[in-house]
Parts: sequence; C-alpha cells; structure tokens
Amino acid sequence: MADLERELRALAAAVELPEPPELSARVRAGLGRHEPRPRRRPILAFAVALLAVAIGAAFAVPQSRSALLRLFGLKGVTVLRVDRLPPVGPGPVVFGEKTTLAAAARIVGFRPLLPKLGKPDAVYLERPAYLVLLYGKPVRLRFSELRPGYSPIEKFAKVSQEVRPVTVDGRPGLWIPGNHVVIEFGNQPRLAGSTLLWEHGDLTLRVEGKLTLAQALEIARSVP
Amino acid sequence: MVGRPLADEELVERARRGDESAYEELVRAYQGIAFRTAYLLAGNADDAEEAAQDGFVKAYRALGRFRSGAPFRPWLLAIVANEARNRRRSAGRRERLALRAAADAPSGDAAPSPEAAFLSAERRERLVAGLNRLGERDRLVLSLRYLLELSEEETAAALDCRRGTVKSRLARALERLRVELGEGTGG
Repeated sequence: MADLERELRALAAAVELPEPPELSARVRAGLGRHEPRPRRRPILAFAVALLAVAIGAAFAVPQSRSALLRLFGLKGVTVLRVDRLPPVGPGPVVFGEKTTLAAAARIVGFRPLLPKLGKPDAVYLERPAYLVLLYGKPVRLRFSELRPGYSPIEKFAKVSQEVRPVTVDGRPGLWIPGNHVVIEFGNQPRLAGSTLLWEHGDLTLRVEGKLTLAQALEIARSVP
Repeated sequence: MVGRPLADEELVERARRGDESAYEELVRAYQGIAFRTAYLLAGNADDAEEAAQDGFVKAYRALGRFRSGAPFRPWLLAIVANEARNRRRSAGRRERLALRAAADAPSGDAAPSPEAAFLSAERRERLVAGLNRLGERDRLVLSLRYLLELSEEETAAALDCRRGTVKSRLARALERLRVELGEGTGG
C-alpha cells in the first residue's frame, strides 16, 4: 500500500501540467468591479466590433466569452456589450506599418480624409484598408478610417459606461465616453480613451482621445 | 508551508477589511495550486484559468463568511473547484483529460529531483497509463491527493465531500490502480 502511494507522490514531479497563469493583476481588477459585498449589479460593459467577424474575436478572448449580452450595429461596426473586460497588455499602442499619407492612399484605394487638425505626426496602415493617423507626441488623438467590408479588419472595445447613438451631420454614429478596451486585428488589447465612431460615405471613421462629445463632433464635422 | 498559516491568517484579516494588496498576496501564493486543481477538474487549461480567476474573485466577495482562524487554502480550493465543475457541466464537456509523463530532462540540465529519480522512466509511463485507464472518479481523487499533494482536508474540499469519503475513495482507487498495473491482490 505504502509503496504505490510513495510512487504516486514521486510521480507528481514527472507529470506534465500546464503552467499556471499569472492571475493576481486580473483578480485585482475583478475586485475593483465587485466590492466584497456588492449592493449594486455588476457594472455592464460594452465592446465595439468593426464587422461581424469581431464577434469571433470576442469569443476568442476567454474573459469575454461567457458574457456577451447585447449587440449594437453601425455600418461596419458591431458593439458587443459584455460584462467582463479582456485583459489589457502593456504592449505598444500602434500596429501595422508606419507609412506616409501618399503611400497609404495608393494601398488602401481611397483618398484619406483629413480632419482639420493639421498634419498628423504619424501614419500607420493595416492592410488592406485601415488607416490610423496619430496626432501629438505623445499621442493625444487617434483618427482612424476604414473601409468596411474587409473581413481582416476586426476590432472591439468595451467600456463600463453607456454607448450613445449620435448623428454626425445626419449620419449615424456612436459615442463611447470613457476608457474602454480595443482589439484591432488580433493585436494586443489596448486601453482606449473616449471614442466617436461614425459613417462617412463609404468609410467608417473613428476619433479617439481625451475628448468631450462636443470636441469629438467638432473634429468629425471638420472632415470634408 | 511552515509559517504559512499565520501569514495567511493575517492576510485574510487584512483582505477582509478591504486591503486588496493583502488579497493579491494570497492570490500569488495560491494561484498555482488553484489553477492545477481547476485543471484536473475542468479538463482543460482555458476553463481552469477562468475557474481559478473567478474563484479568487468570488472568494474575496465571500470573505465575510470565512471562519476566522480556519485554514484559507481548503476553503479557497472548494470555491475554485466548484467553479471548475460548473464550467465543465455547463459546457457539457465529456472529453477526458489525459495525464502525460514529462519527458526526461536532457542531460546537462539540473539533476532530477530525488523524488523523480526514484521512479524509472518506464515505471512513470506505466503509472501514468494506469491512471489514465481508471474511471474519472478514481483518477481524480488520486491525482488531487498525490499528484497535487493536497491534504485529505483539501482533497475533500475540492471534491465537495467529507474527509472520511476521501479516505475510502482513495483506498478503492489505489486498489483499482494496482489491478490496472497487474499488481492487484484480486480482492
């Protein structure tokens, strides 16, 4: 009897088990949203997805998989309302290739639209049709444009606040005030600031930064 | 483990008063055993990770019900194990986790632990194969108690049964494993 038990104990060191993940940061983030004795319902959060493909992206993130609650739609944009945020990595906030406006225009096949914000400090392109203009050093504003219909473009964001439908010059848009999480093209999830998304002709445009709705709308209306 | 109970007790008390850093220390101390327990119960690493994470959050919220002075680890493992079982159940998963013996460390690496060296590679393979042929219940109780080295109390907490039940399940499972290995007494 004792020998087999001893052998099994020895086997412990020789059985393959997956490495435990580092949970402390995520658990701690969870504590913030759930007081030891919660009196309120857990705060609902939202996710934005460009294209329905993003629903797949959401389900690929285990933390949000169990908690898909509701969908909003905008052309080329889906908002997923989930109750748990995907974890945010410390990774870089840019992705794609650094390029110039002229080079980008040749690749994306549309003339980049520029808000009246002056010359962007950096231009990034995620092929085939997602363009990101960065303003300020360090970045204080991101202006992105995408042509919907390309399945490779996927992005979702979550916020713990409302997603408000708005109109920009009569066209539908969404205002997501406050921080939320964005996943773009399967890149590292990143924390995003307040964001306005709206349709503009064939494109879907997005401006993100420390903005009020009024400021975001002003930028949006400055796009020709 | 020496000194741990005292330290735990203090951390738990501080966490109870809302000290999140104290709780974070408990998470760091027990995330390994929590994840592995969940892994054996849930059958896959994704569910185990979620179960461990949610278990820790739920345990924090339930600290008000934790009996002062009681050991934290079995209480936590009971909550995590429950999360893991729920996930397995709600996903309707039937697949079995297959245990695997780790490959021998290549020579030049750190010397194997005395415990591992005690078993030949061939014997390890036989034991793992034997465990894999056992029924889920037998394999689980043996894995938790011997492979994860949980105490009887912790094994009982993870299996949601009484300590006496763990003892009798262990005895039966060991006997069946012996039979699988061709070393059984036949009784």
